[in-house]
Formats: sequence, structure tokens, C-alpha cells
Amino acid sequence: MSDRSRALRAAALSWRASRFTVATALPGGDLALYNSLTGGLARIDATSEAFVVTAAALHAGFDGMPQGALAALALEGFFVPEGRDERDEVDALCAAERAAAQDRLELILMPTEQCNFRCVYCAQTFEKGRMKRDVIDGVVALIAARAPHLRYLKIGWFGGEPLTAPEVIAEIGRAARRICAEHGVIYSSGMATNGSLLTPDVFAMLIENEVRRFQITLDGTPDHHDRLRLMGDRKRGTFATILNNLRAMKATDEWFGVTLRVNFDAESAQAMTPFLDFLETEFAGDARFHIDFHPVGRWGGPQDDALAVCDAQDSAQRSIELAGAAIGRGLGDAALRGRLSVGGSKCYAGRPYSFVVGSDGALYKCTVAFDEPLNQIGALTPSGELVIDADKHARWIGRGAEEDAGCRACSFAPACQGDACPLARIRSGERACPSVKSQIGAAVAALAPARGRS
Amino acid sequence: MANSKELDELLKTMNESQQELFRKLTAARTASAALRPAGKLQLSPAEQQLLKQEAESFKAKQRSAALTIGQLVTTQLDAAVRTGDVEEIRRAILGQHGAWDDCNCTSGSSLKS
Repeated sequence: MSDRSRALRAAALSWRASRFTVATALPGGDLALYNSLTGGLARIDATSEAFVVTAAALHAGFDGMPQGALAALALEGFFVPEGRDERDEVDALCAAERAAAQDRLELILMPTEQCNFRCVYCAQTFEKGRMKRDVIDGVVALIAARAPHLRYLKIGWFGGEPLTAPEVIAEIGRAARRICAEHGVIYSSGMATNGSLLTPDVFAMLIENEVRRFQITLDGTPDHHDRLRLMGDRKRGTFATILNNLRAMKATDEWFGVTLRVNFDAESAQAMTPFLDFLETEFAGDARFHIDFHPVGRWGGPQDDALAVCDAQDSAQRSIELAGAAIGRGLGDAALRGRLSVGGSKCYAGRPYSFVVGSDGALYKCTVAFDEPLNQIGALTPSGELVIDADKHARWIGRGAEEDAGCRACSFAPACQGDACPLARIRSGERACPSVKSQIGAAVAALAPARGRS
Repeated sequence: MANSKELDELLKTMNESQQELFRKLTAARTASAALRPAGKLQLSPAEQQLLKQEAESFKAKQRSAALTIGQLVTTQLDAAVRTGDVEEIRRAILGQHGAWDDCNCTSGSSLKS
């Protein structure tokens, strides 16, 4: 192409900020940008010419072929050609998600519904016990039947406390690994565990079975944690046992990821500084550990009325403030990063290839509303067939990002795809936005890349 | 862009010479509006290549890291899938948000846009 024709082509280009670009000022004046469609993050030095050029382009757009900093930013999707409707790209993401049900299967398995803890905020009823033999056989048969058509299989272990039934995890895990290896399926596995039974021997068994991702809860300093998370006798605390197991995991050279979930209530929220000091001492600099803060809620348990919960707006703000403080101390940021990534704030229950299998073979979509009739979508048979009420299942697979007017206008739609909480949408008929969206500026500031690392 | 009010606040932090440059750039853009053709919605492959070259050239030349680019985790998975390396893909999946990390999410999801 000649210089002249190139110039003519460039003259036909006009650019504007992407509808999915979010800008925020950092302490000290630097500009941070985030794009929810591309996952791009950028930091622009407040003293540079690029700062003003970018601010002007965000404000008014620009003409021609992007030069300098604008070229780098356009390449990451912060600026797009005028007239492009990026909502088409969100629609394509949602369509791809539905199509993924052909070659992807995610099972959240409950090897037992019993738990050795009695946390004060827990809503589970512990009525069902260990997974039955015919359900174990059904899970293995399901995996074997689907494997020839799968690219990915993910198993999440849930409960109750899954590690009170380690033999179920080992049996299904071994079978899943073998079947996936035979068919070239990419297999990954994780677990939500209270961590009390995650001794070095059990950890080794889990790693052998590719369980490498863990969510383990520490609810603040030992006194606050032991107030909220008690052993089954409702007397003994659990902090010291969990910490010993975490330290043993850290001492290994295995690759795994631990999300340390911190549930805070109005009392423990006041004592987070010493807890952050503690976390920094124990886990800073080890990228295998990252922290995720959640407010304690009234989740339907018998002690709901006695809980000192924070209100929704305060707790959303506090969660991000704490995440920012943890990241600033060198603790892992994967939880917050994940939440801002494409599809990262979409609930598993809204994914057409995700199913929860109870210990009795009952099928659900969501792990926080087992008693909800709409969540009871079917059953797994001993021969491995998923018998699903298609109408109920369809209620969970929303088209929020494609059909809800608010979602279509939303800058965060690529991250949640209108399905941050299908349960809330089903119950109320209205969209439920992820809490991080209301704090997006603070979240972007917490994740802004350090200068000079591009 | 999503949050123009935040940008307005940012402009107030600029010094005088920065504000002058900002006004000049935005005025030029406003002046060109009437002359602007309908424009294109996509870059051609050749233009995309030019854009990459210009971006790389800028990153190589910038003296004091005026612009720092980062990425969230999803891209790591996309990149791993492109390589076809199973171990890389598994590691990328490991770095992703967990299936149940937002359990009890209904407690914080009453905020609407």
C-alpha cells in the first residue's frame, strides 16, 4: 500500500473510547484504565504527554491511524473504531458459552452433606450423609459416557465438608483421571473445604487426583474466626488446625491455588488490620495463595437474626478496600482479577454445562438454595444419565446480557454476562448485579499494573 | 466510555500546560467532526499489523514508562489454549476464578445499575 493510499485509509478512521472502558484516577494522579471486554489494564503516568493525549481521546475520540500511546491502547481495546457496536461481541461471547456445553462439563459433587463444623452463619441442614454407591457409579458412568465428546472436565468438591468422605473423592478422582487420559480430555479439579482435615497425607492424595484448587475460609484473627467457625461440638475453635494445614501446604513445592476466603461481619471488620498483618507474614509473595473478602450475610441459617451483618453498600465497599489493602501487602490478587475478567463474575449456575450432584444423586444448579424447588432440576441415574427437567434448567440459563435493557447498556456486561446471580433473577424477575460493579473504580485502582511492567 | 464523570474529575487535576494541550486536542477533534466521513468499523489485516508495529515501537521508545499495559487472567487461558499445551492450559484454569468463589453471592448482589 502506498503512503498516500495508507493516509487515505487512515483518514477514514475515527476512534472513540470503548463502551467497556472504565477510567479511574489513582492516588498520586496517574490514570488507570480497564476494559471489561478485553481484560486490558493500563496505567498512565500523570506527568507524561500520553496522559493528556489519552484523557483527550477518552473525552472526544480521535481521528486517523492511532499513534504512540493511543496505538498501544487501541490494540488492547480501550479505543475502537467509531460506529462499531461492541454489543455484538458480547452477544457472541454469550452464544459461545451456550455452544460450550457441547465439549465442556463441570460437576460440583457433594461426596457427603455432613460437616464437622457448625459455623454460626451456615444455612445447610446436614440431613444427608455420604454419597451412595449407586451415585458414585452414576458419576463415573456419566464421565465415561461424555468423555469421547469433551474437551474439558472440571470437578468441584463441595459439601458439607467434602474431606469427611475422602474415599469418595479418591475413587471418583482416580476414575475421572483415567477416563480423561484415555480420551485426551483436559481435567481439572478443586474443592471448597474448611481446611481442618487437609493434613499433609490428605493433601498428597488430593494432588495425586488433580485436586489443585482450594477455597479455605479464615474469618479474621483467631478470636473472630473461632467465634464464627466452630467445631461440631459448638465449643472448640478451628483456626489453629486450619493454619497448621495451610503452612504444611505452603511448605511443599506443588503447584496449587488457595483462595483464602474471609467472611467479615460488623465486628471482625473492625479488626482487619492485624489480620492483614498476619496474612502478609504468612503468605505474601507466594502467588499460590490469594485472599477474597466477603461480607457475612443472612443466608437462611437458624442463627440469622443474631448475626451482625454489614449493609450491602458498606460491605461491597469494604470488600474492595480490604482486597486493595491485601494486594498492596503483596498477597495474591487472583480473586479480584478473576472477578473482572470476561465471564469472571458470571455464576456457575448460569452456565449450561454446570451441574451440582447431591450425595443422593439429586441434581441442582446452585449451591446456596437446595430447598428451592426450581433448583431441584433432576437426578443422576446409576447408569450415568442426567435426567433433567428442561424447563427448570432453562430458567437458569439466562440471556441477560442479550435481552435485559440494563445489561445491554452496562459497561460490565462482558464480565457477568447478565448472570451474576441467576437465583436472584429467578426469584425477583430482576437482574442482580455483582457487588464489585458498584466499586469498579476502586477495584481497577487495586489491580492497576505497577509502572514499567508492560 | 463508561464513567465520564470520573474523567471530568481527572481533568481538574491537570496543570495549566496539560489543560492547554487537552483543549487543543479536543478542539481539533470537534473541528474535524463535520468533515469526518462515515468511517470504518474494523481495521483491515494490514492496518491491524500497522497498529501492532506502532504500539510496539511506542513501548520500546518510551523512556519513563509513561504507559504500562497489563492483562487480566482470561487472556492467559486464551493464550494457553492457542498453544495447545495441556499443562499450560491446566495452570491457566487453576488461575481462574473458582466455581464457588461467589457462593452466598446473593448477599451482595442487590445493587442494580
